[in-house]
Amino acid sequence: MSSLLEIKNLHASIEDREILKGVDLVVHAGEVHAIMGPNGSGKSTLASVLAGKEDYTVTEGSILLNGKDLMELSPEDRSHEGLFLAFQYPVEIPGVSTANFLKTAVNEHRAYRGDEPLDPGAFLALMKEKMKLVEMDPSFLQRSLNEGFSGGEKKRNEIFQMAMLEPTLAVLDETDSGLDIDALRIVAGGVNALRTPNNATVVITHYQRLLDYIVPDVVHVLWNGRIVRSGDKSLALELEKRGYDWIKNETAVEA
Amino acid sequence: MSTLPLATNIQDAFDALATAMYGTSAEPFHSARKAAMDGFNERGIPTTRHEEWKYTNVMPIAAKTWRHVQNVWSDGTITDHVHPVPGLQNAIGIVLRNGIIHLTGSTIPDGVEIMPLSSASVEDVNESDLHDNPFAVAAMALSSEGVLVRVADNVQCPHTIHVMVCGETDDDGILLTTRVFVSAGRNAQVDVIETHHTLGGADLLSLGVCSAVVHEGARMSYVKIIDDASALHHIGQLTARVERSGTFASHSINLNAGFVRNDAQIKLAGELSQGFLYGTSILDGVQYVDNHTVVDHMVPHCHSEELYKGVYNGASAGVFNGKIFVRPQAQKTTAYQSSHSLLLSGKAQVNAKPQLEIWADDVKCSHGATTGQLNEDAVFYLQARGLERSKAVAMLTNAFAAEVLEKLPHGELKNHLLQRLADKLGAAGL
Repeated sequence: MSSLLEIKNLHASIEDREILKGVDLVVHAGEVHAIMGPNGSGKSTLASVLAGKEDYTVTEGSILLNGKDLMELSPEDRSHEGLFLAFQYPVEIPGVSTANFLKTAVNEHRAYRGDEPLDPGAFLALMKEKMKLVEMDPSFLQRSLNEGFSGGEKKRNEIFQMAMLEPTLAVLDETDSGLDIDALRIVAGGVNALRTPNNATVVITHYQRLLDYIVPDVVHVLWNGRIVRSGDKSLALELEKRGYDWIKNETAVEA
Repeated sequence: MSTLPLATNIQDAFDALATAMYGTSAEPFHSARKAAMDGFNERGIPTTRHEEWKYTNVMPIAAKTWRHVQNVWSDGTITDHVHPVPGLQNAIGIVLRNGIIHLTGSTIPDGVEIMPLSSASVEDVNESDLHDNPFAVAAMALSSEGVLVRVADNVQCPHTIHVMVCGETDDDGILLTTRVFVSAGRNAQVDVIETHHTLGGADLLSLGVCSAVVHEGARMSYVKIIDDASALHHIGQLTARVERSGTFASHSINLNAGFVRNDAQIKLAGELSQGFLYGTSILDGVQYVDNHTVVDHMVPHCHSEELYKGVYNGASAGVFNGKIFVRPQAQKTTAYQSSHSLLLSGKAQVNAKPQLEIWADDVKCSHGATTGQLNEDAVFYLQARGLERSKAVAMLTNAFAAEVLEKLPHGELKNHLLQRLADKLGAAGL
């Protein structure tokens, strides 16, 4: 198995405050990894750093995606190279229709690969097909991106975009937050349907609940800016039962 | 204080008009104009110490000399120098070229009357009170002519009425005054578009007053576009009175304008009436647009919405001043106002001032004003989906500015303006 994502000793800060303090993570093609951890442990920072948000400064370490140095790439080129971040809080963008936005995004990806833009008919057909994955109504295409969408609609829209862009590595940042059980099932179903032996998914979550639907191969616990424990899916169940304190205590002893 | 040249020009123009009107100067129009002239002299040319002119300095305009050109109604035809506006080819055209009024375009349908003010009755053009804006009052004093559009009860005017205000100047600046009256009868419907054009390169000062009456159940849209007039200095007043269940919507669109001050006022005078005020300004260079609005909720159960947006590049500047009055008896009012400005350059400037005076206690009113740069989270979101930063910025700027234009009821004109907007932002490197 080739490694799709390779993070080594990653340190990152915001406004001189160090949030990530040496993260190591290797994700292979075909795998699902879950990153769990209490509030403030650095989970969302890790997602933002991967996507290239400028607010964070990487002070040490490296990130390779398909062997390419991610730190050298702009956020848009990370996307072109196959990274997809499903946002915890998708931004509402009035005046830009979901269809128009996605047409631009898909054609930017195609241009990066040297492909011609899709013709409007083929594009519309593709969108309608992919929307079915997350049971989105086609009327959403003409609405402003995320504007006035419910929490569940926003997250479904994220997975719909993921389906359109076909990333090799999808990072889902707290995709389960704000979802009721039906929406959770739909979103998870979409993610599972998009899995192939050639791509991988990193699921960032607080709760074990989502992992009933998106079953991880590996579960990591991020605490205080580092991955302090990794295991199989039973680790998530144990965390659900016992909380995080025992890991914090054990980590403190080890340190 | 010595008299400013513009004040002298206005007084001289009025005196010349009064002399020309000798023999009819006792008629009611003339006494109304005389009252307006007195009103102008009382008000004087405002300085920035005047609350309504706090941000807008008219002294550079008032210090210049302007030659008044008189409105004349003509039945003859003239060559139309105005570039055709897409979507308005089938409109009923009213051309006011250096004050001379002509009709062009589609024939006037049954139930629609278009006439010179000299043919109108006093009741048609009865103005109960003078405006506060001294330039609007000056336009009333100096306009012995103008145009009256009247749509009869239950008539849906099938064509847009297109009023083209054209100034042609090669040498010294001319002063144009324009009076427009539009009346939509009970359950009637009419769309009016006013465009401004300058021909020749010299400065032009255009003062305009439009009075609209929307009778019971009627609907009127009044769109004012300034997009071909970099030499134009325009000060305009639009007042609409809306009766029971009537709807009035105004759009003020400024894409290429030297100096513009637009006062738009809606009086919601009948229950269940609605008023909408929209504005879009996309400016660069040293362009200047000041939008002052007033919505007066006079009776219960009325609704008003207001949305103004501006994109300011270069050293352009803008003002938004929005007043909402809710009178004590106007219970169950809903009134929403927002103004948003995007500053693309460190030299651009905006002043926004919402003013709500609410005297009734069972109402829903809100206002919001923002001024700033693009939302960086939105830029990042688009980048994370593969859009280059410059494309993300262009998409967001365009969407920001297009929101108000999207509300225009005219399809082809809307597409033309959206394209103009994209071109203008594209030319600015966005």
